Amino acid sequence: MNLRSRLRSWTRTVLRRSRVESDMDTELRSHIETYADDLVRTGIPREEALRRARAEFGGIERVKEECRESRGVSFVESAMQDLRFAFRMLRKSPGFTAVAVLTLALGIGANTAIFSLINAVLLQDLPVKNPQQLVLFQWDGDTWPPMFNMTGWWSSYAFSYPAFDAFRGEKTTLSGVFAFVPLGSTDQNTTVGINGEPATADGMMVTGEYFSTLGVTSLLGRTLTEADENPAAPRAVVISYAYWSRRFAQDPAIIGKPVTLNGIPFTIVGVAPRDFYGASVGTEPDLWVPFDDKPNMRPWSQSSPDDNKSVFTSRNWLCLNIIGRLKSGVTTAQAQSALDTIFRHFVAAEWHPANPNDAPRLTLAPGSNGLPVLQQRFEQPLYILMVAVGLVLLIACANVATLLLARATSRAKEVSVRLAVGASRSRLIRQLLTESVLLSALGGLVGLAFANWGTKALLALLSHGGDNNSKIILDASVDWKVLLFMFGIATLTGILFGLAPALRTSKMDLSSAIKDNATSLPLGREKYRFGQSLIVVQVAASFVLMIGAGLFARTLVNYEKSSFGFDQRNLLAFALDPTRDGYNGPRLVTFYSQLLDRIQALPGVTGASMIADEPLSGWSGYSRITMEGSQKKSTEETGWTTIGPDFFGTMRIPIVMGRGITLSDTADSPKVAVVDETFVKAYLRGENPIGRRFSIGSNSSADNSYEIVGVSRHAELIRPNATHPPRAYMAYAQDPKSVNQMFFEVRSQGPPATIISELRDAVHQADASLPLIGLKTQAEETSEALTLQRLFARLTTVFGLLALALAMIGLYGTVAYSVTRKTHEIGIRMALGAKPAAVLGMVIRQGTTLALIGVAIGVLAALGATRLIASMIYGVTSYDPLTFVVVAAILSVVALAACYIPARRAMKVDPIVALRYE
Amino acid sequence: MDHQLELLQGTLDMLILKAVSLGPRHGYGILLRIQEISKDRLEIQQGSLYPALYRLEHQGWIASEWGESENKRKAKYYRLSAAGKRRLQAETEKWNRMASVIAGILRTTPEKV
Repeated sequence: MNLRSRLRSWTRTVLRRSRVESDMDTELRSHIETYADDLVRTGIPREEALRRARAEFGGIERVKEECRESRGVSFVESAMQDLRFAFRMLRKSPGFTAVAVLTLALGIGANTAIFSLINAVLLQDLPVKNPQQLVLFQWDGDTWPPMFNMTGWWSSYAFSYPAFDAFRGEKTTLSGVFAFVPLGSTDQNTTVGINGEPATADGMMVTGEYFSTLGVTSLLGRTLTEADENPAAPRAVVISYAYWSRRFAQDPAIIGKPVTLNGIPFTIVGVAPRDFYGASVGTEPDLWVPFDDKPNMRPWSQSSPDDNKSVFTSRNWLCLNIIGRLKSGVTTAQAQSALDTIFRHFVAAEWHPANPNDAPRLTLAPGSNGLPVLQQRFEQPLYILMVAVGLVLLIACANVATLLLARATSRAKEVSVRLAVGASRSRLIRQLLTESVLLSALGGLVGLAFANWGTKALLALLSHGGDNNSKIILDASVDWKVLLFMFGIATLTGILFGLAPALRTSKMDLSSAIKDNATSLPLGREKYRFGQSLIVVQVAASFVLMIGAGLFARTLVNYEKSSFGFDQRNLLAFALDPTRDGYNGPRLVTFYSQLLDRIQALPGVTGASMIADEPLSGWSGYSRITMEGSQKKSTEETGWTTIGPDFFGTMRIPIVMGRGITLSDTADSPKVAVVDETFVKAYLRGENPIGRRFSIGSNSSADNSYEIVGVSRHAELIRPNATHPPRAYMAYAQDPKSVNQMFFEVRSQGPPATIISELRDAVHQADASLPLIGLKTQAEETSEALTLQRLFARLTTVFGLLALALAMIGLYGTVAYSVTRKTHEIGIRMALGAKPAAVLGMVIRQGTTLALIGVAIGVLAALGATRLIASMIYGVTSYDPLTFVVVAAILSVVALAACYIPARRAMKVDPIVALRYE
Repeated sequence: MDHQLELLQGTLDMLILKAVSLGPRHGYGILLRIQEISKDRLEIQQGSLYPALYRLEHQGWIASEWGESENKRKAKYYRLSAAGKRRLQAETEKWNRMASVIAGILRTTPEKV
């Protein structure tokens, strides 16, 4: 059959309906008249001829209707009719329409907002040419090869430069491959000197094929190429559009401008396009520089862990990430097998594991989303939020279904008349569904406005939620995927909440419905049961959501109360990275110790120290350790970091045994460590830890052996976490060659703001070209570190209360409806002598029974559901009895209130009035 | 044979296609042509003609355009489309096969079984 001609006739009917109608009329009339002409020719008078022609033709309207049907347009036509009718019906009851649309708008809006975030974080492709051709290099193995050393994020995506060099040779399956690594762990990792003024920026180091492989061309000037990697070439930097706008006011003459990066002269050679944010969603480097390894410009601003080797020669320093582009027509599997051979060969040069299966394997992950830093962090939280808003939508649907059922009662007569005059049941259902889908479409449109607002609010809340306090930069604008999602769920919900009421409404008993009796409602007990089960579902779902809200709220309170084991009051935090100015080794240690002296001498300062890992950033070294003289093998990794003298005193972390790190722990004295109580519990339970020695990893050379001189109280300095890994603190001065940037903590006597300017002066006097990075109070830092927890506590509370409100409106509606339905029965009971209190009790019992069944189901569902969030809560168990009891109590009390109002009305039923209706 | 045969179900479409294949005609003309060819032995309900015409046009087997009839009246003329031509051929073949099979069955005498 010819699809095109059918489409043509459909569109003609829909768009040019009157034209088609008049054509049909003309054609049929012309037939009759032509026939009449012929009859006149046989001698029949005109009048009579026309009459006979009409009679033989048959009913003209019936023929027309048959013609319309045979065009296949009756479906479209009737859908339009239904839509017009639905609009009229909704306009006729504005109160019902407003409540239903608002309820649905909240449900659909919440879902669309969360989906916008999921879309922005998890589904967004990199803004590059053919992103689906990109593959992300990943390695996988049962054992961590002993010589591998790792810096940076996500170990399985990290490789060494020599490994990348080996992959670079693979030209048969890849059309290009590049490596990239940040210049440091924060988004202020580079000091940019513009006309001699120092400022900080977020820098990314990339190999020459970075831009060409991604298929990104420059907006101005040129991008980096392989020629820029040559150490002899002049140093070139490409800046981002945002940075160009922010720092250079979009200066069109920017190309060729000299700047210094960490003191090294560079020339700006290009500006990246506006929408390009690099190879990782959620981050946006300000500048890209060619790969290098100088003391003041290196991956993660850290020196290679292999002595005397640079990043280019250090075979086992896993610090960079690799993305390749498949040649067209090449499958991922083909490329993977070619690259895996290279990688195995590369590893086998230094390591032959006893079990060949232990050797790491190379795998290629889809690279269209880039390096999934943000995705891995937010995937689980976002899906949990999606489940939460899904429950809200479910409750909203149940609520509107309840409303529709109640409305069905008042429309019983209309429906029965339609059935009586011959409307088919399917036609009726279709019309009722049109109404509910129209409702949900309206809800979706209003919801889109909510979602737009909600997404913006969420992004603002989230922007500080990155690791290492780096800003998260996301584009969550409404795109076709969000719109498709919104219309998808709107249609689905429309059918979901409309189908059951439509099926029930259309199955009514005609004879009883037609009888003009307003009080005897024709819809039977079965329908009421259905309404009751809707209430149970709503109560159970809102119970689950409120339990989630309760657990996350308690988590936030616990975090805020715990203060992570150190005193956060009057504490200022900032970072310095003098390696960018060429300081290193003993010279850097001297610089730091003189600066600390200077700061400690400031008036109003009561303590100052520093730590190599940023507090609450999640960024730290983790290794297995070997305890000397102990057979106990640890399976858990121990976190370790280096600190300055008087760290514990400054942070007010109690030392429970021995001493802290002091000024006397220098490069010339024996290496010492302070461990926390968790460490002692894990390795030295029941023994005296003081004087014991341990080494990091399995290398037990004298250089890597630390004597425990003190034990500190456990403090969650690095990451707020429910699991507390053991931790060891070493003296920074005892390992001068690995000292680089440091995070300072300065305690003031009064409010921290009072010492800021003196602090700046002190640093300026020590070295005028050193910018203070991220100067904040520790309280602000902590609050930013809790972004995600706060977000969860707030969102789930909002969703929980929303769910509660919707469920209670539903409960109220159902009980009120049942009171109306039973007015007659109540009247009889009262006439026979039932006390008003008994009637009140009866109605309340009925409603609260439903609520209690809902709570009981909710308890079971919540016990299962909260296990999913066990890793995200802190200081409470997922079955926290207090939360369960409180939520159950709140729900029961509110449910009681929701039943009380209609129950009071029932109590006041006047038996005479109630009975007179008969 | 004086008496008119009622149209077998489903054959009207085929007759219309055939009638139109002999040259463009308007609705009334198609009716006349069928009656003429059949020598008035087929009875076609006038009203049933138009739904069939609309259906065939919707399916793309015939196409229509407005013109003037021999009585100077505005009339819609139908003609066979390329798809309709193929359809008519297929229908004709099918009908002939069917007719001969059925005729064969009806001719069967007891000895032959």
